[in-house]
Amino acid sequence: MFNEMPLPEGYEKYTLDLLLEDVTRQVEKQKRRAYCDILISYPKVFESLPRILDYYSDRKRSHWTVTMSRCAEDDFYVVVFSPKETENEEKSVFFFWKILKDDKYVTILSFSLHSAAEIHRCLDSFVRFAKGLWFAWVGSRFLENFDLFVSRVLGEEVHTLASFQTAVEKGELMPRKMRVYPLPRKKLVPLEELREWARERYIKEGKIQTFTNMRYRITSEQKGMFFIFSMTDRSRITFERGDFTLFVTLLRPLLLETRRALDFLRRNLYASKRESTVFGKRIEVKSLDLIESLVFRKPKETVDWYDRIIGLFSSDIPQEKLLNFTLLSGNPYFLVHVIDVENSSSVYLSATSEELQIVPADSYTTERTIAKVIDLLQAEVDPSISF
Amino acid sequence: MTSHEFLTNIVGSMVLNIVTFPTAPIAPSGVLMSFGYAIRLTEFGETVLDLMKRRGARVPDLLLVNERKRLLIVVECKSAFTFEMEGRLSKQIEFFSSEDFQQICREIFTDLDNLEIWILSYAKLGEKIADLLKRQEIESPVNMIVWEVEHRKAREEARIQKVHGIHLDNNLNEQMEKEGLSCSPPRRELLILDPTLEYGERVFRMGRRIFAFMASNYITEEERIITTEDFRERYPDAIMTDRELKRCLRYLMMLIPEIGRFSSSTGEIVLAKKPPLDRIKAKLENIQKMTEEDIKSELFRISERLGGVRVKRKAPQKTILDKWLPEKSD
Repeated sequence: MFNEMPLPEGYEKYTLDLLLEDVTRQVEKQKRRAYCDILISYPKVFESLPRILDYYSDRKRSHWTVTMSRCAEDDFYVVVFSPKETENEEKSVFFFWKILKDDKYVTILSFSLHSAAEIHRCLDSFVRFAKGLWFAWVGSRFLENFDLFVSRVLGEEVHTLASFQTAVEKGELMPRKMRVYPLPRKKLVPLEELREWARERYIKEGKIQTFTNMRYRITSEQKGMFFIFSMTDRSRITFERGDFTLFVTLLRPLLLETRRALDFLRRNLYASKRESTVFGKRIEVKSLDLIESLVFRKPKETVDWYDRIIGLFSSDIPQEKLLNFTLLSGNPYFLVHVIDVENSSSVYLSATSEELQIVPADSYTTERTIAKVIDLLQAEVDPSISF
Repeated sequence: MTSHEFLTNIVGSMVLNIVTFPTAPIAPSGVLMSFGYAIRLTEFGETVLDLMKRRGARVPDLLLVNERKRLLIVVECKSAFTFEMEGRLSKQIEFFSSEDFQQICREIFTDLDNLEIWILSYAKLGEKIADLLKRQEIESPVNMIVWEVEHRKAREEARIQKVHGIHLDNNLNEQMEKEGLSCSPPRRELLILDPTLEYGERVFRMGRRIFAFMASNYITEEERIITTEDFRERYPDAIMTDRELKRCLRYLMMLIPEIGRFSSSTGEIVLAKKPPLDRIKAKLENIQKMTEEDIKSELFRISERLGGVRVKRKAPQKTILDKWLPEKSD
């Protein structure tokens, strides 16, 4: 079906189950890779998605005309990126979207069998363009402890092995993204070994390792499962081998995990207001009812906690598009207003030698801003910071 | 954050309901919340502000309420105690104790009966303030309390002790007599504008917030227009009159024209299409470093350059106070 470009024939009759079977067949017989992305959006943004797609298509810079059509079942769509110029005989790129809604968020499971480069050119470009649509965050610590998640979901007897795909090693001067192969390439080892290796490195050399992409092999003889796939800290899954239909048993809890992360990342400031009068004129009386903060206590083994936080947030962080205004430093604690230029939201970050707090500076702080700050803290201050 | 604002924020952090993520090990603040106190941010309106000005008083630093005890608390913070401040404090107390102010409070907070004034200062200043109250024999119908804040930097906490007065709230009074209160340092700017802040700082704060508005991948035509209502909606701690807000925005636009343009008539900001964020950030940092005098001279220099802008003397405001207030008997 996927060979019949530009649009799969009979997509109107296509369902999620049919897609999963098809993907399994393609992966097994044609040795193709299946890509699965978890996208998050707000219900309001999702409702106006057709309009956003039109805006995106109408842009001069945009290489694609994008259409979204409903398939045979509810909340299941095909999204087609058709090239505007057909001179190079470029083919359309399409994605199947399964939509899951709740009152706060819309989760989009995006499936594709196109190459990573094509997906990057289409989907990534669109997500960068659309406000209020982003790749779900799971973070480096989740990748590192993925075996614990798998055994919780599939049972203790499941065997999980992993290897690095890419890791980010933070140098003293500039962070750099690099491929790290402390182990022979593609050699899969238990995650416990990788954790131990990272821990020793941190204790001996003070170097913090964060993982952006890891490759896993999951085997369960009892349940007849065998998967090889890789996952990024932004929850992009590249499925290499196995039964994709069975993989859904792992995908569903993963969605719950990303949803749980959203509750953690969303920080609000709730204020109520009532009207009153003085000298016959109406005035507003406000009350700050609730401020949702995040608190992290310094672990015993962490060294230079306070200095590292000051070092990190005293100046701007251009690579993460964070602009910082230091409000108090050193006496008696550190307070900084962090503005996320990418997502138009800001937080107050305060630190003492014992703890760190993140408090919303606006009525709400977007999930992506907090995810960014946590990623930075993990990589630069304390590897155990997570949710 | 000025030392005065730090004091204000300490009181604020004791009444704020800050909840942490469920797995977080500690609840960071809210010690006064357990006694039933909550914060109220209120505008007073031009008429009241005018009245305060005429009596040499300023808006209270904070207002707290205790609905269980039907109490309204006026919080005044003093980070220093000079001769000039002595005079100002006397006028403040005189005004807050006056029947006029009590009438205003009764109008705004219809369900509260009693008024109490808390004066908060750093260690060793509290005694001086208590002496002043005794020396001047200010006979106030309002209950007055003086608190002292001691910073324990090694433990990163603030200890608060009562040095003068008896609280109307028995539970709180018992606590203050016994061991006082302690809290962790405040974690955010409580209010966009502390009443004692100078214009440079005000402009810097507003600038940071407008900056957060405009900092985005792209802004749509609709998002480019920021009204004062939008601003207040996004920042509930923006407690100031429209006139004050507009003035700050106008100064901000004069100092950093890269942000966009400001319409005095509608009070709207129209953000620039492609704002140079780096340049705006640099200018904001520059404002942070400038003294009040520098800001004034810079504003004057810009006004001269623009030609048309002149600082107008404010015409005396017509009020209808006589209609509302009984004549002052002195």
